[in-house]
Amino acid sequence: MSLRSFTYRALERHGIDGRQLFALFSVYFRQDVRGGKAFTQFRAKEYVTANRALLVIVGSYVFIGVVLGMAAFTRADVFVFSALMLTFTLFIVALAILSEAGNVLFNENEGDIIGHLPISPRTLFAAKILNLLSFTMLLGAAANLFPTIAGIWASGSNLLFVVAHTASAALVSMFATGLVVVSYGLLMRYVNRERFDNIVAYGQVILVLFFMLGSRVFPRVLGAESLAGSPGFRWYFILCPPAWFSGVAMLVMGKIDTGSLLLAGLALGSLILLGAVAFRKIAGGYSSFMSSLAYGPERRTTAPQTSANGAMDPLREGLLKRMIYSRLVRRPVERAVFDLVMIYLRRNREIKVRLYPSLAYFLFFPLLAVFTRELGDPFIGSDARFYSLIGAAMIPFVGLTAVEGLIFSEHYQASHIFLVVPIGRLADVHRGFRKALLIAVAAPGYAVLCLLYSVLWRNPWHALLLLLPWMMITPVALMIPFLFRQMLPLSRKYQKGQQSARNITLMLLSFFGLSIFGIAQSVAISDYVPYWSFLAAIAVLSPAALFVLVRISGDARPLVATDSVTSF
Amino acid sequence: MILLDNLTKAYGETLAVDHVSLTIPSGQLVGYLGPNGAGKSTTVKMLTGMMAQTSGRAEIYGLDTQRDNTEVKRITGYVPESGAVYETLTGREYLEMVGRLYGMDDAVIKDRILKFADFFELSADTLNRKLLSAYSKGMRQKVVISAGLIHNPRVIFFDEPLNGLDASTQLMFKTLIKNLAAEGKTIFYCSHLLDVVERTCDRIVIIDQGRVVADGTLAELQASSGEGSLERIFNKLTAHTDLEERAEEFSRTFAF
Repeated sequence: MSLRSFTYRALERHGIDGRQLFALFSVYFRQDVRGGKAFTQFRAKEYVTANRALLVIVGSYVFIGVVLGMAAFTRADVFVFSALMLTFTLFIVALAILSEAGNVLFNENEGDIIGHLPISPRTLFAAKILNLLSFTMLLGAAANLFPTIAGIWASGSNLLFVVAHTASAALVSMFATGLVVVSYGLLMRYVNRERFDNIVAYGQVILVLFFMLGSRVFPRVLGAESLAGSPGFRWYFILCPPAWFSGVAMLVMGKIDTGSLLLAGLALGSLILLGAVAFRKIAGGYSSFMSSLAYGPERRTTAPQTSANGAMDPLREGLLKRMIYSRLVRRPVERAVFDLVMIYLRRNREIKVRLYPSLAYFLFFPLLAVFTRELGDPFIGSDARFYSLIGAAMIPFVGLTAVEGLIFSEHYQASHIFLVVPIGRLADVHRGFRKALLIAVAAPGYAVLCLLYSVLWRNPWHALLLLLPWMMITPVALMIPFLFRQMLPLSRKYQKGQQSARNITLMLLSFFGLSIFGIAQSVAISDYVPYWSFLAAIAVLSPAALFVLVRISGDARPLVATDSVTSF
Repeated sequence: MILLDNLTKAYGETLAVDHVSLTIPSGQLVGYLGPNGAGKSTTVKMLTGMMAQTSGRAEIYGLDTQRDNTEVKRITGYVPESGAVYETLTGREYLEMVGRLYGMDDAVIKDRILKFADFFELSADTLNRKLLSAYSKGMRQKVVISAGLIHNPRVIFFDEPLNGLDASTQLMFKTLIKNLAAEGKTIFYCSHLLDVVERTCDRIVIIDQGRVVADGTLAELQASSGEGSLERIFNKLTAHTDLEERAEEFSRTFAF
């Protein structure tokens, strides 16, 4: 019996058709690795382009892995080193899969393509998991490429670390995938269709915060400041999944003790549990859920969003809406784009599921600071101002993330309308787009932070003083993506990895600029210069910078056809 | 009036539209026919200013589609074959958005929406509350047609506009476009439905492999080709092999 027929028979025992599984997987794989414009037609040669987003992610994670892997040369204990690398792996893999899983698992458009084919729910579900797993494995491999080798030099390590860390990193990637898939699956099973969209979107936010906080708290608990010492077995390792998989690595390296056995047992047990729940409780109902998602009587009316006379009313508050319309978005084209973006941000499941996890980032640092009691009032001499400032810096960053995320949509073909209509300058489209994000993302973000800081510091004035400069520079920061490119909202087809790649790139790019601004504010708070002069300078410089950026941006250019908007 | 002067679109070495020259006077309803991949949609995209030509010239009422791109779009309407819409919007929201993108006042948009809703028998509940994702294909096509006409354009480009419409709506639509042409609007109608073009259009242009292979009234085409129906004329001009013979051969081989 060949390996292939053996595998097919084994899968068949679990209700999975092996031939269909690999056919589906190979299709998904090709979709993922090919660029949006996979074939260039009408040329002498046809060629396939690669999905550059995946290359960007892999490259970024290899780089970050190199930086983190250097810890091995600081006489770090091998268990601590392994646990830290696996914490990082779990973190990046979980965040990536939270951004991407929605598009893989809940692709409504797939119903028309394969819904009528004789594919069992288990086979389809297995193909989806395999697809996600291949993605997480790729990310895990990139992040651990260097640490796997460097770990040989960690204190107490040996050559077997290469095998041990490879295995444990692969298992931790499987764990992250399984956890996210099972979480979604249980929602599919127990939450009704009407509430599903919102619960998934907000559930993702909670998972993002969980993984982010975990990735920060666990190294502290582990005593990561002094990597050299071996912590020995501690009871709270039982609560930290990365430690479980480090236990597996220790066993593979021959370091057999009760602690490692217990941790490895938890690791393997958790994987078995997740696998069992996935295939016994979720897989069977997957196809019917997808069918209800695509064709069912789900939320397809919009009474709350539409006013009594049927006029377009994406903003629920009448007074607020009137104010925004009359003051902020007066031009018809601007208003059309503003409303389109606002509605999609609030109503479209694909956008919410893909974008909301990224928007949760701004909550992370303040929450972490609350947890670690490091969110001090910088105006009364507290040294703990880092988290207060970084919390504020996250708002422009999240705004930028939203800009990048909102150029993609499952309804990208409808963006042909922007080419049909007489839009003289891109400025009207771009302004409507930016203003929607200022209102929908930045303003609520600052409001939440202001409230949080006010309550914690018991001084709303200080909260406002701290946030005011950031509010002033946010429109300037949001100009950056519009400087060199045409940014039509919802106009491109989404491909796996693009959200994660853009988040990473933005984080790296904006880190420098926002850090400099944060340092300048920190200096001003420290009374080296009067704070009012800092505020006055920002009040003058921000509009000036905005004016210059608008001038040098492509806003004055006419709208041009791109591949995505002419390929309908 | 529409003018195409040696209009050409090249993709590498392949000419999707090959030196097409036409003059279409105001108020004419022109059927633009061709087999799949003949270059119909590419021609329309160039005429609507959505795509730049490789060479040649296209003008709408004296406005160059490239140089006066925005002005051309202001006086043209386009109903695409894809019927793609922002499905997360309601029908009304979509039409309001399109109206605003044409720079129309909200009051005018509202009035036009009511008129289209009345004409296409779209209920207020459907238009105001249902997301476009919940519309049937025909209902969605009604919204797409309304969006193409909402700004009352002087020149209208239709690309397979009858997709998904039921028989009675098709009949209404055909009457509508005849009336629009009678009012002086120029209509450029791309379709595969030969009988519709045969019964509706004043003039028929057939293209094949990017080139115009026939141009005239139905009577003129019949006279020049010696064929009776538009279907026979079309097949004679565009089919490069005997279609019926191929179909018979295939059905024989398909019986495994």
